Amino acid sequence: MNDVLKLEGVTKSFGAYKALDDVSMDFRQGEVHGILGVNGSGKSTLLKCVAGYYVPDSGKASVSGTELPWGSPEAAAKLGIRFIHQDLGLVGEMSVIDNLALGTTYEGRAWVSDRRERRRALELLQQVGIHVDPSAPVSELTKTEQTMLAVARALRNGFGENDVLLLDEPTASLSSGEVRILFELLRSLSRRGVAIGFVSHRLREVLEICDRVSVLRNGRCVASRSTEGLSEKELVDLLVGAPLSEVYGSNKPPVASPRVLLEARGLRGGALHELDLTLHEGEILGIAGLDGSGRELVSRLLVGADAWEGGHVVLNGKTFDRLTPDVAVRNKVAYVPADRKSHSILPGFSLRENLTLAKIGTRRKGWLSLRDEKRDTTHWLDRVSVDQRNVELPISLLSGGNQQRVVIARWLRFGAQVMILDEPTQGVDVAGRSAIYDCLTDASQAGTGLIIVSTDSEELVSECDRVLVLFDGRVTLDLDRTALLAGGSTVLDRAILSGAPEAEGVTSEP
Amino acid sequence: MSLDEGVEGVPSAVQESAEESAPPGRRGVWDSVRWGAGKLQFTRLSGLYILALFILIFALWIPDTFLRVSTLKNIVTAQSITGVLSVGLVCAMAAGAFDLSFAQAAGTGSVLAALLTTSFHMNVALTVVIVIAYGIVVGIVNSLLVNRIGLSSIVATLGTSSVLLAIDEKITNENYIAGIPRSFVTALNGTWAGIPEVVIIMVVVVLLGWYLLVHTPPGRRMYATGHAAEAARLAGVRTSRSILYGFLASGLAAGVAGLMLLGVVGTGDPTAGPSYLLPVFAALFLGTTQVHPGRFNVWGTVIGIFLLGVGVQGLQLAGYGEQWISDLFNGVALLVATGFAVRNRSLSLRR
Repeated sequence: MNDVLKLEGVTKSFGAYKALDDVSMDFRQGEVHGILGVNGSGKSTLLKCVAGYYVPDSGKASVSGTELPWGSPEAAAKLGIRFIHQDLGLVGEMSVIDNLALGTTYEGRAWVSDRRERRRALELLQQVGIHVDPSAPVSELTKTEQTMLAVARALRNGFGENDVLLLDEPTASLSSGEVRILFELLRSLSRRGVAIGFVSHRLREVLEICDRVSVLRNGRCVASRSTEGLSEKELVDLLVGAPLSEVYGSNKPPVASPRVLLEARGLRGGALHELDLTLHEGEILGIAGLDGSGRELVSRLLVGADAWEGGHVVLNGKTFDRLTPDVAVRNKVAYVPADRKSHSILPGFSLRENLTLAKIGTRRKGWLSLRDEKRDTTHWLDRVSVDQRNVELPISLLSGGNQQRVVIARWLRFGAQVMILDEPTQGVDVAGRSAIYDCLTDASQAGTGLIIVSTDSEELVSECDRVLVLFDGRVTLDLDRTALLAGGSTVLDRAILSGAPEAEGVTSEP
Repeated sequence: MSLDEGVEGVPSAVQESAEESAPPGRRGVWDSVRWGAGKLQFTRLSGLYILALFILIFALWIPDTFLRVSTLKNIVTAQSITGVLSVGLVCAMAAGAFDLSFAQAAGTGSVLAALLTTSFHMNVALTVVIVIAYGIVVGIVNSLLVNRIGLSSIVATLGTSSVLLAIDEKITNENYIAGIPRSFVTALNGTWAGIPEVVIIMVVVVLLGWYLLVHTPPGRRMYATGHAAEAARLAGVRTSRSILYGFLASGLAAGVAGLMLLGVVGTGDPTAGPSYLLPVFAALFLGTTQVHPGRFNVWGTVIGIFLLGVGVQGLQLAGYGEQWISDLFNGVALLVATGFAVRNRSLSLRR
């Protein structure tokens, strides 16, 4: 079999950070090639370089012997590279037909013919082998069908022997069964000569379907081999690397406070099938899991930002069958969302207004005194060590780390008993991170219970008293402090990837 | 295709500095200084300077007619209804409730008052109570349509506006209602220590609006709702309540303005309401360039109202009294002022 797409020595840095370091791999005709790696290993960066969205610092790529110019999606497309972005790029309200026609048939035509488009769409769907109602709006299709539709659209200009289909995490939000259906489609396409490369987290399924796998770790390609004779365990070893010997975090005294602040029982919603957790006073509880494991939904469900499909939560001794954020807040549960810009801060508002939002009001009743509020704000900015005297400055002018600390200060001032943080240090530099961790540690020592949802395993290992690992919408593992210190992020990464306990000294929950 | 939602494999610090659209992560003292200076003076109160300039121009141009106490009185009186409606609308818009119905609500309120005092021979107090209750009902209906049904506020208030117009037309048969009792007119259009009553009402309404929005927690929550509804909701703000308060304020203001309208005009005018729609919106958006740039605010709106009022009245006194000149003046003033503010990036009205 011949190489269709060949990458040689691709290197890409973002500032001082090397996202890709001398990566070489090739994609062969008729093969399905899986690209694996833990979060931050450079998988998506690699695909985006090939698709023309990033320009690598060095390295070469060729398609069937023709050199691929970097940084041009058009040129890549011309050479037969079809890229499917993680969010699929479909328009939910429009029909299957319209989505398939989007961006192509309107060109140079004075009259958009529905009939012609319908005919073309049906041909394409048949050719690719998808059975969906062509006039249904895309939002009514299942996730798998949507992904397959995106595949069909990527191939709408025909697919030939020299085409390469690249998918960026097409399986993230699919269940195991759905993943298999998608993989069947990819298989059948590869049999017809298309070279397929895709990024995935699903070890088992990848081993089943892929002819070859490449494993990226810290931007380097540590293996690029046939899947034959490769076991899941070996794959995990490749992904995670040698066990880390460092011990993270401070020597935090174990917290043995019995008071329960928050309890979730059988909480269900979206990809999260069942969540049980108990949070104690002063405890820092971590939540880990792959994209699509339900991890992203934990915080939103716990504070009632999304509606539940079942289960209940116990707060302050009261049982809630449904919850909205304002009720959660009144029960002293605070939420720090991951999307700072649109879910957390009020961008055009001053530091003062952002900080006091949860508990507006000063000592004087019936009159909001700006002077009191300013004094209060200064006090709390000091507490979270944000060095900014001008409390009237719009918060959007601050760095991400400072914004996050203002939001944390908002909830400390409010007196939150439970704080649920989603990706608290996303987009924050190193200095900012440790300042945030300091705030959180202080809060937990004062008795606040914290839940940290994060994709950063090292963060979880160093900051948390306990980490729950989610896999396929369920908690599959409960790692306590001892296990975390003994195993470090390696154990956690393993558990995140395969969902099953492997290492010794790890307590598993049924 | 959006590829900017976070780059895998890139530490966040790098990502942050790689962001181009947003200003860089570590902003220095300079930005703070510039921002502080901008907030402090000229741009923030530019409307007052322009107002002074207008007064100077008219004082030099038509000193005999312009420089009189009666002119001042006329301007203030003429703007009082606009002022009351503007304060209500500021509250609604602050909470993100785009209210298009307030003008017709005021118009219908005034013919309702006319109907009550003539056909039903009600006394002043009862009429006032009923018309104010009517204003509250309008606000509640608008907020139910937005909060319960989930309509966008523009669509909801466009709908109620048309229904209110229909009620107006049904009440009046599209004719003026004459014969308003003298007691009613004197009660609402009298003077108090030489100051027209409508002006006093406006001042009270302005102070109430300012107090609600700036000095109470619900006011702050209304602004938060209008500014970033989802972030406010996740921070525990009951956003539907903020919207209710906004619509209630503008409905109440419409009721009060309806009563003032009847008092000032003296007859139930079926077409009076809609003529307030454009001037009030113009004053409101002009107001977002003043006092607290980027935010709908009461004092900025007051500046806007008098800027437009002095301009229009001055032109009328100078002999340019046609309606089209007033409208042209309002429109151009709005475009110029907000245009400057948008260019200076102190305002986000750019779409």
